[in-house]
Amino acid sequence: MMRALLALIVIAFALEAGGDAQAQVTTRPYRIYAITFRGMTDVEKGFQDYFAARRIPVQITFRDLNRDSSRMPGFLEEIRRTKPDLIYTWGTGNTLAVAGTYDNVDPSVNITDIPIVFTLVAAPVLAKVVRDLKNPGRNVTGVFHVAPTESQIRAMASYRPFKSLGILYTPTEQNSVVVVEEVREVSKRLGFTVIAKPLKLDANKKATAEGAADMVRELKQQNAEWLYLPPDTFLGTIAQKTVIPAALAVGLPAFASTEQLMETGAVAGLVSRYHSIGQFTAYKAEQILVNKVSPAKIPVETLTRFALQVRMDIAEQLKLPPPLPMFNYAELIVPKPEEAPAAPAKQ
Amino acid sequence: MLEKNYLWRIYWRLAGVIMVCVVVALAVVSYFSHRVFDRELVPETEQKAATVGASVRALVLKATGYGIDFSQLYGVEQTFAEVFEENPEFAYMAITNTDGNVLYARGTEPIGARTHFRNPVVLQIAHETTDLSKAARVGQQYIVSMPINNDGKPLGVLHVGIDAAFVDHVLLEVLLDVLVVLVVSLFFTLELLNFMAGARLASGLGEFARQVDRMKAGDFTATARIRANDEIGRLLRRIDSAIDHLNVRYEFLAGELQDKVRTATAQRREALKPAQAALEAITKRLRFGSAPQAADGDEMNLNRIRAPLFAFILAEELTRSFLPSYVNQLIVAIPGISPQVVIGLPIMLFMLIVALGQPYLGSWSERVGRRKAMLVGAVVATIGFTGTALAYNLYDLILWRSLCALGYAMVFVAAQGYVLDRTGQQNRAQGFALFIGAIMVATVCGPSIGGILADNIGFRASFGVSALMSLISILAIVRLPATEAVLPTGKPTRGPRMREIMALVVNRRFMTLTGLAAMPAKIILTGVCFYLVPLYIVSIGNTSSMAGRMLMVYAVMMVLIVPLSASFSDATMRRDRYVSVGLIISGLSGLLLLLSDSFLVLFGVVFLLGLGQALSIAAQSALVAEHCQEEIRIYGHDAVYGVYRLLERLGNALGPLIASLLVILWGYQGSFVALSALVLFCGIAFTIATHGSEWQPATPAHP
Repeated sequence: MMRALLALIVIAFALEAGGDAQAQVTTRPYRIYAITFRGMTDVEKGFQDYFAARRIPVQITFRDLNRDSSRMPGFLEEIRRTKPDLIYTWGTGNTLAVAGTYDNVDPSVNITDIPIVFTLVAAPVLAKVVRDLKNPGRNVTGVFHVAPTESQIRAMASYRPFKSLGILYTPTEQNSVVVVEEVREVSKRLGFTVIAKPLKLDANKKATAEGAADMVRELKQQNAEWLYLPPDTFLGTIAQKTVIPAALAVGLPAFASTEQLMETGAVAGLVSRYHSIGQFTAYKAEQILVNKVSPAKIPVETLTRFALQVRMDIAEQLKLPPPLPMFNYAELIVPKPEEAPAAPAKQ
Repeated sequence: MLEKNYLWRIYWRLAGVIMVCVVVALAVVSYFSHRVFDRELVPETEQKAATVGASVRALVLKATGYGIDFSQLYGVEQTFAEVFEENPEFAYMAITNTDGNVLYARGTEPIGARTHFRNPVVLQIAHETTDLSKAARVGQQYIVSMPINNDGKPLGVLHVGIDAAFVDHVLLEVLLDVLVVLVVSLFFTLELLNFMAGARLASGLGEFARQVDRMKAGDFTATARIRANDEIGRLLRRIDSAIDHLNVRYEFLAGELQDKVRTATAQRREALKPAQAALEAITKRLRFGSAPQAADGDEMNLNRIRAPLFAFILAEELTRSFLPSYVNQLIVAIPGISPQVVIGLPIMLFMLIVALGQPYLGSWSERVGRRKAMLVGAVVATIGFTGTALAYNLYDLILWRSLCALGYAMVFVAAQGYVLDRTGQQNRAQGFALFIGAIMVATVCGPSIGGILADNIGFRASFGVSALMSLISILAIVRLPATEAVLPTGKPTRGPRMREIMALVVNRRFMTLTGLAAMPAKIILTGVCFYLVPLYIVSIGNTSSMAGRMLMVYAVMMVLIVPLSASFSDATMRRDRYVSVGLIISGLSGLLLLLSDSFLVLFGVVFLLGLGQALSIAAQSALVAEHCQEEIRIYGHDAVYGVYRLLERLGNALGPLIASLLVILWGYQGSFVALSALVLFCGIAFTIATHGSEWQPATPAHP
């Protein structure tokens, strides 16, 4: 229902943008081909809002992968056929499917002649999207969205200090593996132990939800005081149904690294607002489309401000109220009972 | 030169009376303002506690508004800790429930707090729904209590404890500031008095005395001088007109006689002979006619240097107490150099530029003229100060400070030259007393006022004040006489030559004086006063004002002791003994920090350092003339003193460097101790080295 609402808003903005475009008869709207991973999110809304606010005429063709990678070849074929001015890719998977890694580009599969702006790629360098954040060096630039690992750990500790940290992650997702490594590095400096459990893989080497709930219970038994949810795409898909209920049952608070994970029921998280990420991504697109800067020279960046979010309903359920000073700066979320958790209401 | 005559005594008596009036008035004003402050401070602090408490309460109510139980709040103590960090005057915070039981608390609980919290009157506060707060003295604290009440539902009481010792400390701070202002006003008054009245009186009396002397010697030549329009000036004008009258009479007499002689017969001429002889005798004894335009009013002009010099030196002295802290703020990491050394860098560079620049600027100012040289120096320094105030980072700061140093060296040398040009052998000492006096008063007033300024308007604005002072000095310099006094025996001064430096540096007798006494004295002076004190004071949580007060103690010691030791060292004891004792006292100063690290001990350190320096400073340079006669004979007086001053000033530059290196090794306290130990060692070595017979005074001043 929420998604439908968002789509409506998106259309409304698209119309508004279209109106502006008509006003400027001489300018042909820039054509953007956008590939999303799981339908419309706040990122796309922010992306479109930015163009609307800046009165830049754009015509965005949205295509949703809907978590099914078999749709990708069709999209790529359509891109080759329609030749858009810019491609927008949501997430690491989509980005790599379109652009390829910097050391392995297949011109028969990947797109090389159209600028690509990615968003919501947790670790662009580790995922081999670009070699150097400041200097992408290829026809690709974009925005990443995860706060520095140490900042997240410190935010967690300021909510409740801890000595032992549990992590669930997908071993086949490179970005998750790297974040786990970073957490281990930080743990040496700040003095806590890390219990990291990789999710099980099935016969096709694909991660499964099987045993995830047991792992959460084991973490609790091993005295983990927090469950950290890294920016892990697969974990995101099983968090709400499997991981969070198991954690709540044993009284283990979860800390989210992205707004999406926050929505699954983590008690707190240090996240980039999806809407702001979308706006920032649009800014990068503007550099390419309007200012004619080569993507190779546009640095890959993230926002400098992150939101510390707290789910008050979860905090109450866990009997872990946020510390008093946090009431000054945290974004306190109390979901309205009749709505899905995906609709946070700010007080 | 002026005798200590009747009028002069009256001037000093008058000055004394004015000073007493100023002091008494200031003391009374200070006393009453202090009382008002005392009365107002506690309620003000209580008001602050209520405001801070209200924001904590708002947070608590926000949390309970989200459904968190009042007794289940988390991180309340943490909130208290954050409050303490921002408000050091609060010593204790607590929240009780409606029964007076402490739920959350942090800080030092005053004795009797628990009973106070259960007091029914205090508990009643919880039921208040207004923004009321009540204060009461409990033990060593003032406890401000306010309700935590959720729209009529009492939850508990929030208590904020104000440390009484903090209030006392603030009052002490104010008292010390008042004291500083008192001392500074005292010196300012003296300086102004001298500027407005003393200088004129001195020149007036001098002029009068000279006129009388001239007449006593039979010189009745008319002088076309412009007389000041005051009593002495009017008196002198009457003398002038009397002289004019005399001259007219003489001219008339001489003319008449000549006329008569020309027209007279031989017999008459014979009769006129005695008259002619008498006139001749008069012409021999007395002089008439008009005098050549004399180099006028040297003494008056000499005094006029004092105001611009004072204003200019004050500009630099203002920055002493906070410059290192300012550098610390703008610091940029320089790879391979420790930040401690980097902080000292601008001071070091300043001293180095002054040391190396002076010998060469001396002859330069002679060439372009003293007034112009001072003008250029003050303009350069004004640019430097303005740049310092607006500095972006360490790199441009160093550039601006170098300009200040260059300007300082120019003005210093040119002013020195100005005094030299206008004084002869007899009044040179008086001239330099004036020169040093202006500098001394600036060193008393500058750092202390600068510290207060820095604490209240910030570092940058304080440098702005320095720029302004420097600008004022420009205006004063412009008013100096444009004509330069030219020394009749003017042989151009020059910087010491490399050959002379090399020869003197390896000369044992010269280096005993320079290397064991003069340089260590300067090293400990700049190392401690300009580098360590400002940084250490701030590092232990004190203010720039406190650093300024410390430096004032040093300057006051110098002002009080130097004149005494200068006159005594001639009379009672060998000069080298003064230097020994001075060095050893300086060397003991920093060792005090072995006893305690309190800032009160630091006062003792600065006191001893000031005493030691004051004892040795006058004797030191006199010793050069006394014991290096052989060297002076070979290289000349100027060269020997030139090298001596150069090395002494290099000591100035070395001070911050050595101090900062010692800080890296042993921290601030260690650096104080080590620097003092170094000077103590030099003092002892100097004493032993000067023990031998060759150091017996060659020509005892007082047999």
